[in-house]
Amino acid sequence: MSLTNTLLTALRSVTANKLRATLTTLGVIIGVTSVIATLALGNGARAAVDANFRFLGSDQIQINAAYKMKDGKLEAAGKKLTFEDGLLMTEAVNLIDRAEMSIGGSVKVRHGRAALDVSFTGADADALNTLAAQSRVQPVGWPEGKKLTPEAFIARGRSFTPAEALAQADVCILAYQTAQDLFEGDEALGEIVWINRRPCEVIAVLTELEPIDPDERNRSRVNDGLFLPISTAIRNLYEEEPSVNIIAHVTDPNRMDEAKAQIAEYLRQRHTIEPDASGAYEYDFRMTTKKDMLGAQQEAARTFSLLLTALAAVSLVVGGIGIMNVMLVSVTERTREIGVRMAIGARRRDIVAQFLTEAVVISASGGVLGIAAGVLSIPVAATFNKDIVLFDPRSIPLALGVALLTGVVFGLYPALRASRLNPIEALRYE
Amino acid sequence: MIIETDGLTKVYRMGNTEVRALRGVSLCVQAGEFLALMGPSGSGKSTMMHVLGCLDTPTAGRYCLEGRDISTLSGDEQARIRNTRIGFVFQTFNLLPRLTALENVALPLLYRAASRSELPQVNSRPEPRRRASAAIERVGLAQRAHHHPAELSGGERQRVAIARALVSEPAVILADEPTGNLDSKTGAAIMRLLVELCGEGRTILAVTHDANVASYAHRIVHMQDGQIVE
Repeated sequence: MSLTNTLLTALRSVTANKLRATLTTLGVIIGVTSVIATLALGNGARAAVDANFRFLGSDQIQINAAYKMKDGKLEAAGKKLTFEDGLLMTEAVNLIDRAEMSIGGSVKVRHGRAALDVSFTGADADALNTLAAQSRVQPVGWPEGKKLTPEAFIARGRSFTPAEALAQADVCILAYQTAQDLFEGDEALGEIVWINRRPCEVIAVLTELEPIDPDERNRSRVNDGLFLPISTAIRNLYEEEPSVNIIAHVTDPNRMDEAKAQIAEYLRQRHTIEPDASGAYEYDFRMTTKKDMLGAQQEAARTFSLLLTALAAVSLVVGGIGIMNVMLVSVTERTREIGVRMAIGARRRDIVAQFLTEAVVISASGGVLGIAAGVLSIPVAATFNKDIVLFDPRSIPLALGVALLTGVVFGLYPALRASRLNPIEALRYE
Repeated sequence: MIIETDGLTKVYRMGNTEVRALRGVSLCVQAGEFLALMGPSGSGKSTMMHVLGCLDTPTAGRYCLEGRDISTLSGDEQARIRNTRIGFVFQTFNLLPRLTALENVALPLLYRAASRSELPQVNSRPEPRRRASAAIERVGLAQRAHHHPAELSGGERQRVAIARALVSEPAVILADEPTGNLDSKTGAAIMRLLVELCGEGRTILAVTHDANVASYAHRIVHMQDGQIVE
């Protein structure tokens, strides 16, 4: 019998028992939904890392001072990660060609009678490059997909020079709202503001920015704050030497582990860290790469993912057994029909094809319903944790494939059983 | 000669006892003949019909259909013989309840379409439908072609079954108690239809224990204890 006729016959037979078929598909529906959810979870974990660590390129290592809990308070685990540690790193570690440094906090800034508490970023000359590369914010009304450049963030003025960044120059860049608030609409460029009682020249004002993600636009205050050269920030805003954040750029992304080992070696010497009795080192700094973050995030998603995979497997097996059961009942009910079909010339393979197609039609409908349920459930799941759940379009063909496979695997035995009936006995069956 | 059997023997086991259903049956049926195979139950006439219908293989002996020895064919080859050379008419009609009369009639042709390389003549799509319509018209049921079996009377159902047997232009139509589930008047009409078909050159072999039915045949063969007795 031709494929079309086999399919039509199967559809007809399945729709003749709608309720039975629907109940049978339930296991497959749950299984396929779980498959979609599992993949959405893994995909979401990956996307969350991509989004949260976008600024951390795959050729970069983030280095921070380590902290530990002592008497309920967080304190430095050892020596601080100093400005000098960062400055000398490029020289000492040959796999590193650049070490970007930054520091952040909040500070009081005044102009005339206006005074504000704002967040500050102490950064090097690449500060705006970093801001552009983070891509979490963009100028208001920035065309979608257009590449962000550091210049696009500056409304008026210029960025720090590398010399200013190193030489504690008394210059600063004000964010859009901060400039508005301090100068109440007057021109800020070239004026002096007082940051922690030190005068500072405003060399640039940023354009009005907004988060790229529309969901974040109401929450964040991206237009408040100011930028200082990191050397200036350290001198003016801290009583004692602070720890800085370092992002080290590795020359060869294939040698990340090697670069990490070199950095560890370099900082171990600078911080004079000695091995303990067992030869292990207790570092007072932490290194993070995108790969590390991905691993950690996926680890978090893995437990839940595993649970869903188990649910998928169990429901598909249960669903498959349900299909097998219904098909066995169907074969018994239709013994006479099988006899008639054999008598008028159906070959064994025609009978196998007929019943196998029926099983697959049932499982495929379960698959389609399951995919629908899975796709619809993702927005619901996303309201609980947006970062973890992200629909993966590739899960559709996979889920459908799993459903079809379930139909074939569990439909085979009933179909073979039907084809092995003796036509004479089948014709006599009451 | 359409059918020629030589010393057909069929032995099968039922539990521990060996049943010799056929004990060397030699039978010849000529083209265009209407033959009745009579005998009481257990005489072996049903087994004979199953062997002749390629639903069963003989334990020993030879069976030639249209001059071709088909006693030792594989399952698929047997299915093809049933599909193309043999038309079955059953006592209980055996129509598929979910299909219309026309679809029931066309069913053998659909199974044939699968092996289109072997039978290119039914390659074109409307062919099965056209032939099924012709067959259903031949048995006088053109008006009822789109009814389901449940909406048809017993006599009409048997006519549909006869149309299904006719549709593949078989070498022989095997009718197993064709009037067994019909009242005498309807049964007589069915027998007259079979006689008409025979008159059109078809070979018909009816298996029955009813002398009335047998009286329509050109020739009656009696079986008893797995052998032909006269």
